[in-house]
Amino acid sequence: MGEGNRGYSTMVDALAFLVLVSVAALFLAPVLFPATSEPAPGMQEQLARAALAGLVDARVSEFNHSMVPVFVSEFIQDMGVHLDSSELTSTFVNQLFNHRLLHRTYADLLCDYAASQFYVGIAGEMGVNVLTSSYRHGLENELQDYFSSSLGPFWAWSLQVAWEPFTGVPVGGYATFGHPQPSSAWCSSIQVSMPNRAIMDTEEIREVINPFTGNITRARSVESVERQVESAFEALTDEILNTTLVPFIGPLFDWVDDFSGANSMLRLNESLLSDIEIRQSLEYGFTPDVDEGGSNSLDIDGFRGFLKTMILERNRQFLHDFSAMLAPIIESGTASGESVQDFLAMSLGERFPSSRARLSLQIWEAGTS
Amino acid sequence: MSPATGDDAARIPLAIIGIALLLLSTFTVAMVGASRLASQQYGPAGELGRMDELLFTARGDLGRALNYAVLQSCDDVGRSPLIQGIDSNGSGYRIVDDFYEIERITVLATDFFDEYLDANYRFLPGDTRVAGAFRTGNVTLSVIEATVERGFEHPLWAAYDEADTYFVASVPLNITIPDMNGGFAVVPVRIETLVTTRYPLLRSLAEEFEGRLNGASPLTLDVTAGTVAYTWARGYLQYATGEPENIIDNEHMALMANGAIMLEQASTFNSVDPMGLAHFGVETLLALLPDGESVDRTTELMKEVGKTWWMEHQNVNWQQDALDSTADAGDAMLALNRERSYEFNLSGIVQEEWTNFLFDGELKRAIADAYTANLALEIGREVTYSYHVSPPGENWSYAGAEPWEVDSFHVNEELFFPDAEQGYLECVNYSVQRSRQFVYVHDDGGQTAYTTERMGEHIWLNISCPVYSNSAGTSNDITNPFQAVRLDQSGGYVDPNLNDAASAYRDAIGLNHSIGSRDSRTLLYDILVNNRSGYTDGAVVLSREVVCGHNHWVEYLSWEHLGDIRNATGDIGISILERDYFDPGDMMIQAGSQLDAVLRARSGELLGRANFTNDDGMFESAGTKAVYSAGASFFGQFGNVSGMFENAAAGLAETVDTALENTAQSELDTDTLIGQMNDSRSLLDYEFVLPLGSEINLTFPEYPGWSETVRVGLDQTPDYLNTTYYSDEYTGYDCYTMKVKNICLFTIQLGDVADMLIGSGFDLLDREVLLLIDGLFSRADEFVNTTLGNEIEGFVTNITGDLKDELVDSIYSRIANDSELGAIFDNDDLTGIIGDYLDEFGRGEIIHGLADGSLIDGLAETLRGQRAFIAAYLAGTAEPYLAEYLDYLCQRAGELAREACVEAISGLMHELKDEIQQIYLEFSEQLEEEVKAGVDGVLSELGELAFSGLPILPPFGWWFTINVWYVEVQGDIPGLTVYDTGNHPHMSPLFGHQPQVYVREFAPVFNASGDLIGYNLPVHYKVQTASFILVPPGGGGVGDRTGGWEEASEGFEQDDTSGA
Repeated sequence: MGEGNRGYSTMVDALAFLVLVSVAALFLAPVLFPATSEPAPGMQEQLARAALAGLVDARVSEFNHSMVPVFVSEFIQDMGVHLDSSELTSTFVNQLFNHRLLHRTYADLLCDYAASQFYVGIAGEMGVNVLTSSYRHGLENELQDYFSSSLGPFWAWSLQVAWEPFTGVPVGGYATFGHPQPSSAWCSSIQVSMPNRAIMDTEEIREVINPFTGNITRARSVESVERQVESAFEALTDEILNTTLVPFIGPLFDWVDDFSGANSMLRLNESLLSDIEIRQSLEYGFTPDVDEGGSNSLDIDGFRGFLKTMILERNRQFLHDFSAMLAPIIESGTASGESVQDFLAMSLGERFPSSRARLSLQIWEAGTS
Repeated sequence: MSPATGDDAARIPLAIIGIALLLLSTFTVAMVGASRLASQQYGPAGELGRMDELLFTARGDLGRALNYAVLQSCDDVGRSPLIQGIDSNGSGYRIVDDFYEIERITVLATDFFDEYLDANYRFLPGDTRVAGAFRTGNVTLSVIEATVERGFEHPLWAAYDEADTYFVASVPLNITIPDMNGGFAVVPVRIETLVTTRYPLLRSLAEEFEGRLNGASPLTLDVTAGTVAYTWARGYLQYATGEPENIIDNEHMALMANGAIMLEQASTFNSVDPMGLAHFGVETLLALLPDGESVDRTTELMKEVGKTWWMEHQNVNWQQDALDSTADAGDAMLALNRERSYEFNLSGIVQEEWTNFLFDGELKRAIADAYTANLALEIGREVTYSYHVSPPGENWSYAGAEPWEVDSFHVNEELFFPDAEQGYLECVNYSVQRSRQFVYVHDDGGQTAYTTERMGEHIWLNISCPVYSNSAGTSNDITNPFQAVRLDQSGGYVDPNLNDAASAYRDAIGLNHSIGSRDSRTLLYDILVNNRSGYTDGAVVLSREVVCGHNHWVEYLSWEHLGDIRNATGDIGISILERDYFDPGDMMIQAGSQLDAVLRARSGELLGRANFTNDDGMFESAGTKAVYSAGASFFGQFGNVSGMFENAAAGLAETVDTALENTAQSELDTDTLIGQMNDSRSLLDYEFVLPLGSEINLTFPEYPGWSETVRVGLDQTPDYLNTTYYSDEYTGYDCYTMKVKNICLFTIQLGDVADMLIGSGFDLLDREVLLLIDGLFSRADEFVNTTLGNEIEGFVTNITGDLKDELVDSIYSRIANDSELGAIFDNDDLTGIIGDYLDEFGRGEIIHGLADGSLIDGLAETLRGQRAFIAAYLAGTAEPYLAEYLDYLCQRAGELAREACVEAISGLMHELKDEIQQIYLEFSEQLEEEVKAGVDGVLSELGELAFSGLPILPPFGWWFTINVWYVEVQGDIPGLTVYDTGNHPHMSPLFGHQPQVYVREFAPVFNASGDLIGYNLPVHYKVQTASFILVPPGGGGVGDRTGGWEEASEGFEQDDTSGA
């Protein structure tokens, strides 16, 4: 190669070197300098889980909510006290109606909210207990603060709390906070303990269902098993409603009876009663109030009957499937009577998970929808 | 070319290097990507992070569950705390610490927590993240203590500034976590969480509250302050105007006690029950204000009447309440704030000592001392000759000597020294010849021989008087003591002085110029022969004190002089402002000290020694010294004035203690009472604006930077604690929520006190009693045929019927025992004299005369006027100063009669004590009826004459009147709920949340197994205290004149307050 070619060749090498380095840089760049605004796959899940776990552990030093002022006024007047700005009445009012919570976790606040909501998802969503409406507003603010600091500005979030003490029945506590989530949102959920303890332990459930399922091992058909399981479930439903619903929700109804001012706020809207099935159920449970233009006011016995109907109806398929699964086992004789009873108690008891709620968190990149 | 080699073939093209870089980059990208993927999905670090996350979440939720479990335990226990446990024998015992409560909470919490574990951490389908959690130990609790800073503090007895506030709960667990291999990892953990209720704080505060209501407690101070306020505001008005008749009233006490209990609520919780405060306002109006009677006592009333009237009376202001409780708050304020000056003088003491001095022989003794001489005999001997015949010789032994015998004697010289110039009053010189025989016995034993010793002597017997007129602290201070003198400057009286001292001495020792007979030898014989030891040369023997005679002008002048001193000393007084001496005992002691100082300062002036002595300080005669000495001796009786007042103070304390013990069955004593009153006095300066849930600041020393506030709400059932029987609808607990007792300790209606007061001195309380009876008797026609009228009639009949005999007996008894008057009057004489005097009085006049003292004055004057009678008795005597002596005896008879009268009437009053008590009782009851009916009748007019109180202090005068009220307040608060309104830890299905409560009420308490373990009990309170008041002497004293001496609310006879 001549001297003239040598210079050319050097130039080509240099150009080729630069091109190859540039290509290598293009390969390496995403690895060495990843874009911070573009989350890597998995990080979304981790963030969601961490934020959810933080709700269980992190405490709000002080949280306040109060009852609706119109109730305060009526309540005090019903007590025979003039409402004025004096220290006596203002202190009295504050003590009764302003609620302050100290050192509670976010999960506490969410679960307590769910437990006091009286959500009845009959036809559309309705929170019956309007006394605690300011609770939700306070929670929204606290959660916004929490997620802003834990997720940062690039993530949007949606949080649901669901407490369904009667499986399949839309009665309990449900609430959604945050923004409407897109389909691409990552969802993470956990179960958390509720302030309400378990309605019954396994032993107590066994005592209730045993009169109906004591001879189930002698059943020789799916239908026979299903009849016994349904009877046991109905007895269990009655017992649970009697022992929990009355003391738990009863005060609300007592309060309605005591204070006429609050009664008008607790009417079921006629327009909600479009579903014929629900309407027929309610005919047993809600007493017509002629003074209020035909709307119906709540009644604890009626509500209990209504719930029972709902529970039985919504668990009918489960009971059928469960019986179908159980019958062959019984027929095979592979399980002892004792173990069958335990299995029954646990399985039926699981239909009343009053001691836990589900927290679900969806997060997605802010700005997407 | 390569500079090194110059070989171009060895050169590596840049393109090759670039290709190598490209391959390396590709490899790097692949490795880094693989590494990230591994770390996200499969890598060891990713597995560890996942387990940590599971554990973190589980720990958080289990901590929440633990908090819920303890919260529910605290909710349960707070609604029914165990106050009285039951031991293994079934007997109740008081829980004294929080050990059992914590134990109860941990047991319950463990059970509750197990339920959470069973429900949520076993066999959970779906998205359960840990497979299970299993408890490996019990739930335990530790306490976080906070420093408490209140906005409202009790000014004298602040509540504790530290309190248990939070629990920290912990429990050991094994948590099982699924691993990547389908197995489980068991992780031991200890779950620890702050329990978000302030149950410990509520319990601490409630316990402290009950502690403040019992024993030596702030409530005692509060009730004492209220009692003092009512006692003083109403007592001083009563003293000034006669009204109100009843000073301490149970309705007022109940009101005051309710206020005190609310003050303690405020001091402990910084809060009171709002409805309780409202009711307090209502009750204050009803009890205290004149228009309160027209207001209906119902809760409905609060909204009907409007807020202003009762809200103005919600604050606790005992001073103002007490003033408002009188009919005239303005006058009550004036009476209360009047600067009371108490006069202490010696008149009572002087009168008492005057009587003692005159009739217990002190005057006689003072005179005798002035006329007393102490004499002795001084002996001088000079031997003029002496010889002794020699003994018989050998073989004779000395066997003894016979006594000396006077062979002969005669008086050589006899000297008299009227002025004792030589130190002797008399000197007598004797010449004596005397002899004696010595006895010897022969050694053979059969023969006796005698020899004689003879002696001649000159013997001097000198009578000396080293000390005379030893009285009033001095002696030998009379100008011419042993000569009679005429006192030209003292009425020309002749004073024999001690001129008969020597002869009196001779008489006293039996010395004259006779030596007697052989069988009856005299003192002179013994001295002359000196057979007895002591009569040697130079000896001073036979000291004797002799009292010389005096003339009766000495008694007369002494009486006059004593009268002057009595009058002047009786006028000595000091005044002390009550405000400077809260304790009456201290005031009395200080009064004694000041009087003592005044007495010392004025003693020279009052005794007037210079009036009785010359320029040399010598008395003119023994008589003048006797007069002076009588005065000095009388004055000397007051030398221990301080001691008298100290004794009186001690006596007052003892009297009050006795009354508290016997009448009120109380263990309170005066010292405690004074201490409580002193401590509580400053509370009257406050008007307490009771807080309704003021913030209490909490800081946690163990956790710097942690602080928070708490507002406590209270609900007390019933809102107002009154004295009627209460039955709690909710708990079924029956009780008296308040029992009030007040006892006016010093009132005539009271048995022991009546014994103590009636008859304690006619000039004091007896006269006040008689004033009332006289007032009633004078208007007896208005009580004809009433119980009170019959009582008065019976009393007058009894006292007039017995009076003459009692007076005669008493006066005769006194006079018969008197050394000077005893021989003059006999019983018949006195019966005639007294009978004639009393015959001039009608029945009513006798009572009136007794009441105003004129009967005694008149009787004393009657006796004093028996001059002719006494003169007739003395007619046969050779009394040189008859007129003076008569004056003296008449004065003496009058004084003696006065004392005898006081004694007789006091005795009568004491005998008629039951009738007097009955009159007071009837009077009190009928007066109360008049007051209730609003009638201003005769009883109301006479109300202020109804004496009450304890005059301080017979027999030494009436310095002030005291009365003491014993007050006892006790009861139960059937329901007391304490709310932590600053924290709502418990979920409420209705309100979202509800506060922690601590409930005190009657309820059985069961454990988790349903076994009875004891009881929750209502808050009990009990206060015992007392209050006293001092008013100036005279008037009707101070005390309850209606309502009875003991006013006990319904149910006080029951020992046990718990009715459940």
